[in-house]
Amino acid sequence: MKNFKKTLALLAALALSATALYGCGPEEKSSTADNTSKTEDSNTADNAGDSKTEDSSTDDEAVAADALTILCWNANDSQPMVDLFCEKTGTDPSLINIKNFDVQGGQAAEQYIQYLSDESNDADIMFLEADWCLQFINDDSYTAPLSTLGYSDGDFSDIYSYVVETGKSTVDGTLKGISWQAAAGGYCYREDLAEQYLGVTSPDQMQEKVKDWDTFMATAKELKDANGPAISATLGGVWQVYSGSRDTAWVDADNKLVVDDYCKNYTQFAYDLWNNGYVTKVAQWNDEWKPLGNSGDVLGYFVSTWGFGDTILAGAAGGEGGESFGKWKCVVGPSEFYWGGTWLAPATRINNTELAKKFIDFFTIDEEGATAYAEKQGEYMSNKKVMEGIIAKGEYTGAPVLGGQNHFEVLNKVADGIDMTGKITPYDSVIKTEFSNAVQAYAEGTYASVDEALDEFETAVAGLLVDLNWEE
Amino acid sequence: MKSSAQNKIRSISYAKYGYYFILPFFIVYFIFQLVPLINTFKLSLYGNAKNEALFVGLENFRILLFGGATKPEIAQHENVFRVFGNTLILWFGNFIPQLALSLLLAVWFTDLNLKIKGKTFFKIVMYLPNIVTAASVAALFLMLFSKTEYGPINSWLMSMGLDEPIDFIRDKWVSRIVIMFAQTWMWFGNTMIMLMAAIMGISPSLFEAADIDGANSRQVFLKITLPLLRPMVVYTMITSMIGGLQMWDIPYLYKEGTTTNRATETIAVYIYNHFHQIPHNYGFSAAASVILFFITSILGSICFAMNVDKDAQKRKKQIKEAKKLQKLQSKSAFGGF
Repeated sequence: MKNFKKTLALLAALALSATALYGCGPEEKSSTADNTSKTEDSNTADNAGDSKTEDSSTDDEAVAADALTILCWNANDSQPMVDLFCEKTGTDPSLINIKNFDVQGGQAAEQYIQYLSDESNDADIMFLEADWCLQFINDDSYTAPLSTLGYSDGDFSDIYSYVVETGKSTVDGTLKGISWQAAAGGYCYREDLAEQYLGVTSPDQMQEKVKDWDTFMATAKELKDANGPAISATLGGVWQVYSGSRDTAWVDADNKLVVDDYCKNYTQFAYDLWNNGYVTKVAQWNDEWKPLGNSGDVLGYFVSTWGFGDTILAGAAGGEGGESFGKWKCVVGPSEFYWGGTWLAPATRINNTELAKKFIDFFTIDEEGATAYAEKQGEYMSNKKVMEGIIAKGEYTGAPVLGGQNHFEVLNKVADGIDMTGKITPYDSVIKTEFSNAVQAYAEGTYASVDEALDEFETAVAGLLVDLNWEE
Repeated sequence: MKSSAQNKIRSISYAKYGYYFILPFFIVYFIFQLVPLINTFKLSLYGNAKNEALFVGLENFRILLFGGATKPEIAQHENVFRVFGNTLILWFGNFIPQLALSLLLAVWFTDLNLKIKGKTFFKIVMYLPNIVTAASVAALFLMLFSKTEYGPINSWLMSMGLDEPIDFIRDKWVSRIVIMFAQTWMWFGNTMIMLMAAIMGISPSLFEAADIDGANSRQVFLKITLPLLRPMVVYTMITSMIGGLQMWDIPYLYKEGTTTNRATETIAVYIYNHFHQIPHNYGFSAAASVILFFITSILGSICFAMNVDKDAQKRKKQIKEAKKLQKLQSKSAFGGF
């Protein structure tokens, strides 16, 4: 009897804890692979948070040891990529295992490091975001050179040069990552407002009005003098582009921060834009940012390949049927720039080089594959030949918000013109953020002079980046 | 003589079951609190960025507390003192109005002579902001106080005749005041409920006696309510201070885009930013956490010491002395024997 009671109590306790812990388990998500249950497990996103990461990694090992494991932070890109890849190449989907951390891009780096710190966790290809890809690319313990897959630099001659440049290690210059996308951007403006205030009737005429920073400023003045709209929605947008026109790297060969005339010029330039009303005082990504598009207070936005949909431009136009939908046009603008993007890099512990190469090939140098993906996803690919082929085919008529203009033609020019050789450092994202903070503060009148603003900028960077060389 | 059954019963100890019941808490505490805490102490002794695996001893503390000769050291040192200053300013700015407001309301709501209608309604409404998560409060204030002419408050102010929109988000003092206000608004209901509970715990006979003696309400407040409320006020102060020093959510979220506002960057925001920045400054982040830990413990102990009932202490002392005396007397009595 006594034993029976004990057993009963134990059972009750187990049942209780089982129900309590059940909630921690993985939530089943629909997955591509419909044939094997194993892939299903590993494809399940880690929605339950960190604790789950470990759970699913054990599942991963249950998958055939030679599966291609792809690390990514969401399945927006990876899932359609794998689907298309398997469909076109006839690869068994169970051979590919998407390790999705389901976090924001910025948090993925920490998740990757945690995941990779366990030697038994498999990783073949890693998705790396532009902002922090160098943290991994510069570290040989995380990423392997593309040459281990059998690539040579010449293989990527069709890829826009900036894409290749960004994938190179800044330590020794070896190519370690490549992107399938090119996030080049242009200046998008409202046709009707441009005609009303500037008498501009075609994108070519508009390009003349914004061909460099001086004319950009002059046009901004012309608009304001006519009581017209601000030339750009935000100062942040201008900075996104202006930062692309810097000729030198932010950190020089001695590992010192370079504060030069470029910084001074921009600080003053931004001050003028801000205080003359050439930009609105709204910040990028604020709730008021997109509604500016229809307000008539703003002539244009700087938009990158991924921003022609609801993310930026279509949203600003009020969506399909919105007031200014279809009235937007895109031009190259004062300077070529790119904004974001995801790079693919082979992990150091890669154990499936053959399939990994096939996968990377498919989306970058394999014209057929890249074209198929571009057409399926409407993505701007990093392969110049592919994009030119699509433009030549003439089937694609551009983003609907542009009302018939094919922005691919513009972006092709932009992407071609971006030169990042020797300009990339692993500290760029911190430095740029601090610089634009200081500039913003100067524009708002916090500092008395440009020099003071730049001093503050240097101090702020010094407080964040101890790796730089600060000796006088 | 006890029976054997009685003896057996006496030997059964139920205490161990108590330990089983509290075990889950200690397991969770150990994994999620104690281990990270110890790890933080460890990390504070290691370097930053590319030196993150290098043992540097107390170097981080030296830089944070005393600065140094190089530019990053000076910048780091100044940063830490700036964020500590911000934290204190933000805490004082929300704690003092919060305490004053909740004390006033608590006294009003518990005063039997004031016949306030709809007391429960007001209490609920005032407590409501506390139910809303801090993230939502920050988002709400961010929208309301948008710094451009399109923001609700600014467009209202401008329709009232203001020329330029006020920069509620980046301006040094204005942004601080908005955060203080948001914190006060969030927490005064909570404090009010606690103070009311304490006031209602005071014996009504004291108030009645005061009434009969003809004390006015100010005298009642100063001579009865406030002294007897002291433990609760001190409790509120300790909890608010610990919460205030660790204030993170609203100051972190109340900003423009991803741009940290240097005037409202608290110590917790500093720790977070350095921890998550790439390359990571784990060392500084952990060292600042450790410093914060010690400051909190010291201030907490001071508050706690202040709260010790002086009368009770006195009485204890007297009893002790009396016992001593007795002992002495008995000794001398023995001696005399």
